[in-house]
Amino acid sequence: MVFLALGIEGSANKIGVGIVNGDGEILANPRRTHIAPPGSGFLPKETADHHRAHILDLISEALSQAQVTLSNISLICYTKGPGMALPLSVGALVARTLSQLYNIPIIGVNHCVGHIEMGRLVTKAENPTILYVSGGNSQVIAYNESRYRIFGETLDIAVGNCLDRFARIINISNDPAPGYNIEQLAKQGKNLIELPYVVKGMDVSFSGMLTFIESIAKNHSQEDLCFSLQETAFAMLVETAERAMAHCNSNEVLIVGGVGCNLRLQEMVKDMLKDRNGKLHAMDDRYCIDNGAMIAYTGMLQYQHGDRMELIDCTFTQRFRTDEVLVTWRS
Amino acid sequence: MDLTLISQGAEGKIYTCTFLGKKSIKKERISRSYRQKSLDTKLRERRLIQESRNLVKIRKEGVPVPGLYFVDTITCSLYMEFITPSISLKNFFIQNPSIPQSLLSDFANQIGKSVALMHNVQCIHGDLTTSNMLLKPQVSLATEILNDFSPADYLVNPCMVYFIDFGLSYGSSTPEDMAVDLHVLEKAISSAHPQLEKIFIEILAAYKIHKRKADSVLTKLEQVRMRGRKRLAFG
Amino acid sequence: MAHYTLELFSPSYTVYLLYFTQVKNAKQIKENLEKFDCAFINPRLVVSVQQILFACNRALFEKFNNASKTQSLYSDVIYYMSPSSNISEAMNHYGLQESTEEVIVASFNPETLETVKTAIDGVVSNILQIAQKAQAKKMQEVFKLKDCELWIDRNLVNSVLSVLSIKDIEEND
Repeated sequence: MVFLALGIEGSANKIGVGIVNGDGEILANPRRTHIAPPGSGFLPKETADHHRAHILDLISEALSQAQVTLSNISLICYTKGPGMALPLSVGALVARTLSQLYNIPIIGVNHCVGHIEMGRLVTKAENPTILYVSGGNSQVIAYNESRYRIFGETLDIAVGNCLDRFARIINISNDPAPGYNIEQLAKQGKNLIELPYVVKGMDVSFSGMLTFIESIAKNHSQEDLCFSLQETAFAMLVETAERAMAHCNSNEVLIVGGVGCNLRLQEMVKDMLKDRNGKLHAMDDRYCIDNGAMIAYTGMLQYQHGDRMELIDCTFTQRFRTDEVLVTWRS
Repeated sequence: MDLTLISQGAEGKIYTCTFLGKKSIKKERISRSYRQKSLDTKLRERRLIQESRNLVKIRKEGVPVPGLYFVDTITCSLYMEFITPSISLKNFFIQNPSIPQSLLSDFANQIGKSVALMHNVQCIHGDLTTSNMLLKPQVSLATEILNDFSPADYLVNPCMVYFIDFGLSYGSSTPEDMAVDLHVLEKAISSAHPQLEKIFIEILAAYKIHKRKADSVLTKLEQVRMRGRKRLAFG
Repeated sequence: MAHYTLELFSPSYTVYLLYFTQVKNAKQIKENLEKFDCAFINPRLVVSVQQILFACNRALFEKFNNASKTQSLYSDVIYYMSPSSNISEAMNHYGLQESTEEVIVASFNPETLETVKTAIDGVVSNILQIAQKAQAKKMQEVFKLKDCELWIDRNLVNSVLSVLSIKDIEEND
């Protein structure tokens, strides 16, 4: 019998269901995105409502794409955290219910580790330095002694959050994503406005930049503002990634998280790597964007290496650090 | 100028060279092509100046740091004293498996005091590891002895602990930043020299004596330890 | 005549130094200062030859970057001997005084020093003696060196060069 893992991800504004087999092959990976109206961010309750409205359809869709039924599933995986509580609760609830109804083992997965493991699977990167950039996270991570250690991170808001909030300030559309629209506008920008560049050791900070850019927004074109914000914020991230690489003697970078889709960010990381003869892995939806398959695959790794969870432990949590997870499958 | 590259980090290149007739260290912040030219220039310049000012500022407080010889604002390079003879604390610990307690206490005192003196003037080192501390035999020794110094000699001669690499240093007056600075050192010792973990207790004791308002930093340190340096991730 | 290389420049520059003691005609030299293509340095606040080399190096560096502080290369040398950013204070501390009996002459041109030798009524001495003649207490005061930093080194050279290195170092805008 083939081992099949079903994964549910719903920690932010995307709800996704993925099915992978024992070889890590993705059999299905549909998802839906909750798009907030312009000028506002996605709110927990509305996002959870969105997830609740779509999750059952997504499960049916995934099963039929993979041409299997729930009785063929060997393991149910769900995102335990970190993320927004209400949206997380939807995935956890459905996972527990399926596990009970069909008597399938269940396992909770750390969302960040999910990105990383899917990234390693897809790219075959052996020991990459990970630049994790999303709406909720900005971290530089590297593997060390059975943990994904956080070498540097944001001291306040995440880079994606900074971009989203900036988009709201200057009224840029949320469709398809604020970050995408900023990226397009930035291409037309010409003048670099000096913005606060805050790197403290290995850590970065974006809140000062956001406050500052808000105060000067009316004096500049949208294009120049987008251009300056991207150039400055991304330079801070690339710089800390390079420091972590020097520290760990790593020469590969894996970009994960939604902001990783930004082509300018990818280009900057590539430029940095050119000087180090390094290699970049990016731009693949399978690990860049939140999805169910990455949760299914990571849960399967945990399960295959002896991890088990009782139903009572199948909770969810807003706060769940990447380095809390004991990485039993790498040694 | 004859330059010998001795290391290349993310920050820049370190060379040995002869400068003003003396064997010296050149630290060059190289231009990074991934960032916009104007931003690149500004950052390199700003950090060059910050590092050089911090070096001089904490030397004035009595922390042993390399003497600064020249700040080249065109290539963004610092020329400074080549500490010799010397051995990094890291290599010293590795090469000498058994070190007398009295010697460890001496080093711990010096380290704790120096970090306190830096923090007293709002200078956060940013990268306190045993690789960034050098042992140098004390100035009172005769030149003949110094010219012929072996790793074991550091065990029996009084040494001064020098602090190097202020490339990540920055100014801050918050107990939080100071606590993180200390915690980085604590982690560096426990991961590189687990058998010497106890030295950190003595470092803290010395820090407490010399740091003004040490209590708020030490309380913060407890919190920083609890959360493992970093805040909790969200989303 | 002692000579030293300034390695920073390509090709490198050479500094020529002469140290005079028992000088009797300082007043006369001072009146004809512009005739000499060199710097006349007061040795009382010179901790080592390196301090002079530092100043020569810095003065040349600024000249090449069109950022000279004073009207001539050699008055820049005097200026960069001093921790003070006040030109007249720097000249007071390090420039030639009428009453002086000792002076160090620095030039990038060896021929100038030959001329100076005939012009100065004094005794050419070993430049390495200046370290012993430096007034440590006064140095400490002028360079604002606290007692607590003096334990680091055997002498004041590193502390003095450190202070001089960051003089007038500012971010450009």
